Amino acid sequence: MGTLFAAIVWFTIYVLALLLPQAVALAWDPIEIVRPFRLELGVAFGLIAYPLITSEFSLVGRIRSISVLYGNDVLMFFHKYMGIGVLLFVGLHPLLVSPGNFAQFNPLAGAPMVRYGAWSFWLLFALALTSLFRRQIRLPYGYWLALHYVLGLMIGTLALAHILAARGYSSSGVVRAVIIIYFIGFLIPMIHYRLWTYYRMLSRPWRVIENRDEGAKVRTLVVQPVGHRGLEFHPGQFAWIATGNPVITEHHPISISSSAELGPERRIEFSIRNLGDWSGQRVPQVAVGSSVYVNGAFGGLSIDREAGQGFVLIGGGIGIAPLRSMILTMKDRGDFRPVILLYAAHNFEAVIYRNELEALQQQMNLKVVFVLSQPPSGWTGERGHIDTVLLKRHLPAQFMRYQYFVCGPSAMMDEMETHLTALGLPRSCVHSERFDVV
Amino acid sequence: MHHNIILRLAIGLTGLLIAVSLGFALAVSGRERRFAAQNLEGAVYSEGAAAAAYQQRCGQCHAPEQPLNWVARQPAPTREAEVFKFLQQHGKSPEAENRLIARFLANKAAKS
Repeated sequence: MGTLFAAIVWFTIYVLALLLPQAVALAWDPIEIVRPFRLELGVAFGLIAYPLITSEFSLVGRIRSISVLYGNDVLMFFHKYMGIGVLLFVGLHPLLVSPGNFAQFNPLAGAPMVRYGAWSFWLLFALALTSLFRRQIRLPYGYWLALHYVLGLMIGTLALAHILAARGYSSSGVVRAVIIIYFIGFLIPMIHYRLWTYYRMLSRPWRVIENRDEGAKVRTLVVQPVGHRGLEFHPGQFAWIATGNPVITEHHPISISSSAELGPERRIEFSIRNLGDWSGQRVPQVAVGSSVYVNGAFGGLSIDREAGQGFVLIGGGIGIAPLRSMILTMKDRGDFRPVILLYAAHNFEAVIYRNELEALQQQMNLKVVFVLSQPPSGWTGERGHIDTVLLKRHLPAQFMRYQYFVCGPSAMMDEMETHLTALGLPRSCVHSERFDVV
Repeated sequence: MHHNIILRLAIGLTGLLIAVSLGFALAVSGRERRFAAQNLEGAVYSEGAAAAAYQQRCGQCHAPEQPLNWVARQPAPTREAEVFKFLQQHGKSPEAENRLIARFLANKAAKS
């Protein structure tokens, strides 16, 4: 089954799953008295909100097969946008069912059904606020992630309790069964992630072989599997890494920057930029010989997925890490298809792997173009920013047959997507993955 | 992947879900029900219909026993009317349905 076809099939299944509770309520309708349109619309929104809530976990990219199929950032953004949709449906539900009754938003009073609903609403509101404004309220990523899980679990459970206590459409046994099945489907990935993934991570530790300062606030952790085969991955993918016991420490999504063609010791490398939190405080302290725990690989950004006559890699900042993995993998495979790397940076102090990349030009069909916005005096290379004119200067005549991978800061990725499509490239040839969703 | 496409996809899907919900509400609110509110006016009082009306209208928040203390405190001659008046102010339910529920509660309070 082709990737695109599989993606369409799974998306269709997802949409049908969202509509199923309404369809079941329609078919096994237990309501005996005529109710106004407005009230039924409110109930319909509730019947949409519930499967949206219970399916949200599957969207966040921790299920590897789904993450690889769509790409992690696609799932993250979709999760974020549909989360806002959930808030809309959950907010409209009580307003339409009982308009003007603001007491129903009080989680401390009223019948159990009303209290469950009110708690669910306010916790969802808190979850949305802490996610949309995490940086503004300076909530560390690790704390936010833990809070996100706990709130998600509570919201799903309270929504189930609310529906079962309502005894509207849920007074039908079939509707109740469907609602409960959705909840089980909601719990399984959570339990799988929390228990099974922890077990796997704990039973497959990695030893830190090197903790290297690359300059430009970037460190590379070189890790080697201890007593297991390590990690098979495609160049460009990332893994979740915990630098302590994975049950009690944060997991961080980090691009693998080494070759996917593993050596005899099956070592891999993670390049981590100091962003001030875990990456700046904990990572520099990770001692050689200590254990780290890895869960992966995830993500759909990889040259292995795209057939092209050649590749154009456009990177900036720490976005160079997955691109380095692609280049090193091609070198190790003896893949002599042409690769053009456009590396944007302020100056050479902000460039990592410079010597290595320049040396690789002699070992494979690679052309590296540094584009410096604040170049040193005497610099004769490219300066400024990557734009359509600069791209045209470096792309070969058959550039339409190349595949394009972009990885870097969000603003740069936005610009590149615009410039590349301006060249007439189809969107299907331009690939990127973003990590700064929250 | 262009994240604007994902945003458009999410908006499109939300629109589809709203449209389907409108269809759902239209379909069920236009259905023939066992106890149609417009047919209750002047109809012979039926305990079953009244209990169902109470369950559908009030039962989500209040067990039938819950309001009985208050109902019982109303003077017997005007009890049903008092409950009806309260129901009229409590929500925007059809008047006929409120009459049915008021009688149901008044009868229940009288028996308790």
